[in-house]
Amino acid sequence: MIPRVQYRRLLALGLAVVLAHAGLLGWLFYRQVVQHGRFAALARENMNFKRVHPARRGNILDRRGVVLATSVPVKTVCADPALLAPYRGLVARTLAPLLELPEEVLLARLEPRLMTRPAPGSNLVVTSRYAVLKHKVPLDRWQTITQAIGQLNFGVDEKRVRSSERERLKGIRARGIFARDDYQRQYPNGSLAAQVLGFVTSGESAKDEGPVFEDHGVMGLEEMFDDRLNGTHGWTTRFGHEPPKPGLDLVLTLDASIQYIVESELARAAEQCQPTGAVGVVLVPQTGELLALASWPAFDPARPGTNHAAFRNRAIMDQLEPGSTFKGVSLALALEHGVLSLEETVDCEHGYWREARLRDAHPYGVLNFLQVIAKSSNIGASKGVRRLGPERLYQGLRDFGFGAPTLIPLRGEMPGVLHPPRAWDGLTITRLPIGQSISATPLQMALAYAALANGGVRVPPRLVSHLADASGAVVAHYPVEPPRRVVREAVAAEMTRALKAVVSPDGTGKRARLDHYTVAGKTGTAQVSAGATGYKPGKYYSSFVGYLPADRPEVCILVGFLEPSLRTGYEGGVLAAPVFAAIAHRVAAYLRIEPDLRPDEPGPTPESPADTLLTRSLAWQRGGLRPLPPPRAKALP
Amino acid sequence: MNPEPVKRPPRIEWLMWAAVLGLMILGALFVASATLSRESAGLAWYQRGFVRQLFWYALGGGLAVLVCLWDYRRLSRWAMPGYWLAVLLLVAVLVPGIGSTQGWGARRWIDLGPVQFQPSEFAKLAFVLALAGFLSRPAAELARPENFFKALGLCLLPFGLILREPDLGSALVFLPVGLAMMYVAGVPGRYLARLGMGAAGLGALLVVDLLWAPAHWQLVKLEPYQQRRLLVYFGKDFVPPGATGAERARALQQYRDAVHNVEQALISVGSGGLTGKGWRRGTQNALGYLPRAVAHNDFIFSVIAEESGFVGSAGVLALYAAILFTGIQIAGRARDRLGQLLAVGVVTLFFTHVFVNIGMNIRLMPVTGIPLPLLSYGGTSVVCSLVALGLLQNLQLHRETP
Repeated sequence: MIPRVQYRRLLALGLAVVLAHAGLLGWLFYRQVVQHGRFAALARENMNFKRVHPARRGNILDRRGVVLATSVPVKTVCADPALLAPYRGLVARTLAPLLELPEEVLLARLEPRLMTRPAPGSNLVVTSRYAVLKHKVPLDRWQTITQAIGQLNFGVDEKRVRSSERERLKGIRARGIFARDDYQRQYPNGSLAAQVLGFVTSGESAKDEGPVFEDHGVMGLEEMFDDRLNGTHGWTTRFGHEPPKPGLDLVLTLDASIQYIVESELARAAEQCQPTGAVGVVLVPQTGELLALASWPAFDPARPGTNHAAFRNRAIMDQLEPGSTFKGVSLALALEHGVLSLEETVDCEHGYWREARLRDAHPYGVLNFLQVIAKSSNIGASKGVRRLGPERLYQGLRDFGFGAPTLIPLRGEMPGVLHPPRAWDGLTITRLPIGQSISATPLQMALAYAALANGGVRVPPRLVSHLADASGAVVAHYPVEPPRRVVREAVAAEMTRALKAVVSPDGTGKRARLDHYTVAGKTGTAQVSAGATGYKPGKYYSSFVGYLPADRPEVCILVGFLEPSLRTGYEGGVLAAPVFAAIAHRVAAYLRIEPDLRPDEPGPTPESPADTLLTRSLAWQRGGLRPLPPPRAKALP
Repeated sequence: MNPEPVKRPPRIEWLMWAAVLGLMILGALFVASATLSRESAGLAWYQRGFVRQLFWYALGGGLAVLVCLWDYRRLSRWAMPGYWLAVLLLVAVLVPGIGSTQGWGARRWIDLGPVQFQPSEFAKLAFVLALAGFLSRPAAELARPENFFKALGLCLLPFGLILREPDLGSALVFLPVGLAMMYVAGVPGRYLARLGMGAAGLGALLVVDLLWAPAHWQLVKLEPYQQRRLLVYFGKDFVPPGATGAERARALQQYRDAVHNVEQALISVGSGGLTGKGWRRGTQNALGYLPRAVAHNDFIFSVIAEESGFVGSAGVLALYAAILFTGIQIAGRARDRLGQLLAVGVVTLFFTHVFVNIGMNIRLMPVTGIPLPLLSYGGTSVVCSLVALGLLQNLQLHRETP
């Protein structure tokens, strides 16, 4: 028999079940019907997935198409933590040696978690099925990884586990670890032209397409042309697919071989004289095309490190008192205005000129101005150029481009210092002719001599030739300001005669002499300014700048060493001139410049005129003055 | 002179079996939908989730018929051996060589070659039978404290063993079932009141302990994921007091990860609307926002609610209500205490599963691994549910007084 109380309790239990059901029903109605709009919006938001396909960054090429910087495909290795969850440890153990990461780091990255989406107006949560394990994994390493995952041994007998589990293990092998496309910046020539090229850093940046892991230039041309080198990312959504557009190629006027010649010679000399820095510039006088722009010390753009001295592009960032090399410019201005001639004589005061408190390195008596240049007499040069007066001297130097940046497309270029005459003191007019009380960058000095080499017409420098798309078609040219005559052609020829005398056996630059070419150039040994307090004791800037062949120049070369050690010889004629000669010798051989000297013993002269791109382009311009080279991009390989 | 016992024709509970059939159809349909994006196209037909589910339905149905062949009073004689067998299996599953983790943290399965067996599901059934047998003694005996404590012991033994696996959700099912059976059996109200108050107090203490006490003061060592689930349910983040910035950020990240599944399940249910997005067209399910590992078992209700809307989910509730109503009706009509208690046990067991699982899908309950009877994918759960319903039918078939 069942007591009455039990029925009451049964009834109560039934009532509780009914109430609970009613509660569930009501709650479901509230969630599904009343709040439907809110959740429907959230679910729609979940459908707005977007996958970004990164675009390949453009190459940087030299004038012959040699690749200086390129981007190669790599993989970003990702994992699906939700799928891997029970086998995290095994997967981390397998991948740790392949990804060269500690196992604990991988374990932490494999922990199921969500990525946050910072874009406004979207919900915070994206997915727990995507975790980046490592960026920039090379393709061959990625193949090894896929093989290792495909052969993963889970330590269970797979014939005996239930089918859903077997399905899961299969899924882990197939989809547990996957990869996204990415590109890695590579510099095939190592540290070649590192300060010009700059380098990139990789990081996540927010784009319209969503967060993208991409490279951005932080220095040099990589930075200046960042938006042109970077292409347009592609994307895939549920609405469609847009393939990525690769970035444009940047074609430079530099020649990798000449750049290498200059850098190797600078490094060899720097090893002996231990300078703080060294700089080398090679350019074509007629077009202003820079063939080499080298700085020492160098760095590897692939691993930039933290040595900021090596990041310095000394050709445009070091503003230095040029010293005696400046005499070539100042005397050219004096000749231009006819205040002196090279045959005119001047008293060099036997080494000390009391009025201007000026000293010569070696005491001389009466010299003509040709000898003044050849022997680099400060007193003679100063006396001669002083006749110009401040205004004409200042204007002439401005015309040569001093005191203003050359506007080559690199960040951090210094303008140099050239004060206007009203800021001069009584001695300035005697100091400017010999390259004191003025500072200039090595590039400005090289351009001034290039103007002399080019018959007195100053051509602005060119570093970037053009932008090309993937098929090689030119997309954009980089025009420069038009060339400008600074001295008459006859004056330039006179100066060339004087500068040839510098390299003669009697001149200061005799060590810059070459067997097969006449060289016109000038030595310089400047003290390094210490700001307002005068000069740094025992610190010199030793340089040589010149061009060859002297009477129909094809290249203009500058070599400079900053603060070399005093033991090995620091004067421009002793230190910089031989390096100039070494560079000039190799560059001339490389460009197959026709020798203009026939020494007794036969030299290594080419049989036929060089059929190279460079000499061809120069041959056009030898006929007359051309402001800009014609587009040559299509001829590039 | 005793009247002749009235012989009635055997009565089949058509309403209940119709509801069961409806649930089976829904189960097969939505397991197919939930496994759509998970299973590769090349999978053989007999390896597909819904085919296996249909197989389990058939096996469970067969066993249910088998259960009806013997009078439940005869079955009840085997209740205690069954109970101890279940306890033995629960102990065995804890032994590493026998119990299998299936790659997960908890040791809940026994490997039987091609299939796995979850002893906790079987233990629930054995427990209902054993407790019903124990409580069917006269009410006067139940009033004695030692019997009350014996009944309590029957509850707590499997509870503790399953807690050790660990499987907090399945373990907690034993408490309402045991309590409801004792209540209906007529255990005096003062015992139950004390028991209820004691359990409530202990539970509150545990929650307070979990939420606010420092780590080394915690009385019960829960697995980290269990702890997180409870913290999520109570809306408390994981940041330990006095955490540094990095620890704090990490804990908040973990919190967002943990809350993700719960929120996505709720979005699935809510975005279903009145009529749903259509079979196999649920975006949350297809895009994997409902985690694919659990969409076809613990979160099958979210799939149904998303794809068939309020109409579908109310339909599911109605089908369960039909089964439970039949069960309570059977309990009310039972001629002896054993039958009545068995019916109550089965009904409460069923109801607890339904309520906790659906509640978890709509964020009314914390997340636990409790399956939805007959709908969730999983052999042991389906078979045990059908056997339990077979038991209800058995009560109806063998109702005549002895």
